[in-house]
Amino acid sequence: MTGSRAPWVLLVALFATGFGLHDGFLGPRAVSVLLEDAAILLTASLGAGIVVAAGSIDLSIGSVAALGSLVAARLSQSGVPLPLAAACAVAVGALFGAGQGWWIARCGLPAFLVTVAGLFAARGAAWSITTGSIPCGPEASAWFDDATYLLPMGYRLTPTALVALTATAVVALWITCRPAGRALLATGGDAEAARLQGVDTSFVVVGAHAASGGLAALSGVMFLGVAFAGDAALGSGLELDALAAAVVGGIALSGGVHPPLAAWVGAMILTLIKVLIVRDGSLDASWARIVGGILLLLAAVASRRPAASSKS
Amino acid sequence: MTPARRAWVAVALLVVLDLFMIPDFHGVAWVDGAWRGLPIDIMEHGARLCLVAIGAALVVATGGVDLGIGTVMALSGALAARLSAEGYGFPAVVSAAIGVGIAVGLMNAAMVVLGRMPPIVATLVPMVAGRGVAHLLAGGAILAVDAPWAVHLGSGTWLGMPLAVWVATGVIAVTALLLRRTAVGTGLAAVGSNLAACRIAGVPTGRLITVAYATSGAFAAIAGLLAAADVRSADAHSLGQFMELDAVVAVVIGGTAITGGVFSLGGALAGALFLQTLTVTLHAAGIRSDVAPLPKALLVLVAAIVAHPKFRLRRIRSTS
Repeated sequence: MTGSRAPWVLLVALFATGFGLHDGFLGPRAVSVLLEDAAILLTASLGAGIVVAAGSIDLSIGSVAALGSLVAARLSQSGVPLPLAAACAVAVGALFGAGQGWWIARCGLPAFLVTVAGLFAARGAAWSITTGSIPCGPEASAWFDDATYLLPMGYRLTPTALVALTATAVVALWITCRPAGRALLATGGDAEAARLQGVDTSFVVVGAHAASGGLAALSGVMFLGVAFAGDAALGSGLELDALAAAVVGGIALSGGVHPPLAAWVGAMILTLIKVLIVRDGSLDASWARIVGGILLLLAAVASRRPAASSKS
Repeated sequence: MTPARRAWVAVALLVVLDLFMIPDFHGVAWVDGAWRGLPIDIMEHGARLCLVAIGAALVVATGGVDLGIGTVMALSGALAARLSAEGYGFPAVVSAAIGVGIAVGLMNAAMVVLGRMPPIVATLVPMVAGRGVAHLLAGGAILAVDAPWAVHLGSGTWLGMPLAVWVATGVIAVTALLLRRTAVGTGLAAVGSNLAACRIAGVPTGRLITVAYATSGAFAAIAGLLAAADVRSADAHSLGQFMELDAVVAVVIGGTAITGGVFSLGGALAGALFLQTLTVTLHAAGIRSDVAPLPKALLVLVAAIVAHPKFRLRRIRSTS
């Protein structure tokens, strides 16, 4: 109970701290920048959260993000409209993820090893496209530059933030309202029990990895909105931040637990900490990582299974 | 054939292949009182991977995994650079660096043993936070490691072989001897194969797991020192990056089961040498370094499949 509420309390406290310390912290401009900053991490951690909730792990997220960004940039450069290019990139990522899921679910290989192989493979694939970066097409750049979505009271959203928030809403609804969501949590909680109850657990694992791959590629596409280019070096270590965000948000690494919006909360907490430390200026930016690590530790301790904690 | 022996055969095959394929490969020459040549380079650069792979093998044997290896390397490198810049001598710097490694290892062990956290989460904590600390230590800069002892460690030789090779050989030999002569090796494998049974049988499981993580931390710290001394600088950002993954890959190639319970130091050593030789081979074979991670990915998959309990080579089954 407290485990699922604590991240929210922390998030509100962080917002309050920022609001107290800095003028206009919750103003239209600052919020828009904050959501834009969080968008890539948020999207990646949605995928990490799904995989972890299914009782698996995905270490290939960063590499798949790089691959996705390059696929989208290359396509948009050769004149393919951006939505189509993005869809292709997401499809590539999802296929890649499904492939990893297949090895894990159907062949029974350890998820850790398979996704480490995926980490190397996707990075190699990205490097075989280019070792540098590919600028995206002029239309796409112009659109990323101009497009904003107005909200009431002068608040606005950039395209990447809008996509990230939409993805968050879709994942939250899917997990809470759809049978597939319950199958996901059942598989993560106890795969054998889920299988005996008629859940196709290998399908769930393959699906979870496909979702993670697709979302990782989507986060790579969002990088186009920041840098107007795809980059082969993008996302090194993104999988760690994504996993950390998912766990900080309250998703247990033992699987089977996925509070709605957990990935959003975790990603926002990590981003806010970074923003606050950078804005404060007296602390080195490295402290953001250190605080992130401490939060990860606290979250992991809080999310231990009751059986384990009652014994100790 | 045991998986460890399979790994050594793979190394041997690769070396034979290289002898034919790479003209420089047999050009080992005695220059200025030391051996020089491609195989020596492989050993010199492979020394640190061998060290961390041995440490990782002990952790994996207990059914754990140590994701903190790369950051411990960065931490120890940055700390060594910082301390030697402030004028501390060789003994102080080295013991501080190794001390940091052991401290991180003890922290990991505390989280796994006392906190009963899954090892992958516990060691994710130093992996996320450690580089931040290393950046702080280095003050956000790439520090030079140019104390005389560090230069000597990085480029010196003894009996014609690079010092890094001697350091790794010495450490690994002592480890192997200790594991053979004491019950620790058996204990580690026992903990990995059935923790609950060990606890009931009175095996000091907590102490064994602690030894594994502390050793892994210490070896990673030594590897960090070697790496920093090799390039004479400590870059908190890139020092030891992905080393924890390479270590696990080496361990798995060497036939240590990722699920724990079985381990082979010789295998881990073979795995590490194989990876290092493979890197050099790919480079020499003109395979663009752009796609170099791809063969590694393939290798991990093959190793994982071969290590799978259901996998049997058909030929072996029919002959034996």
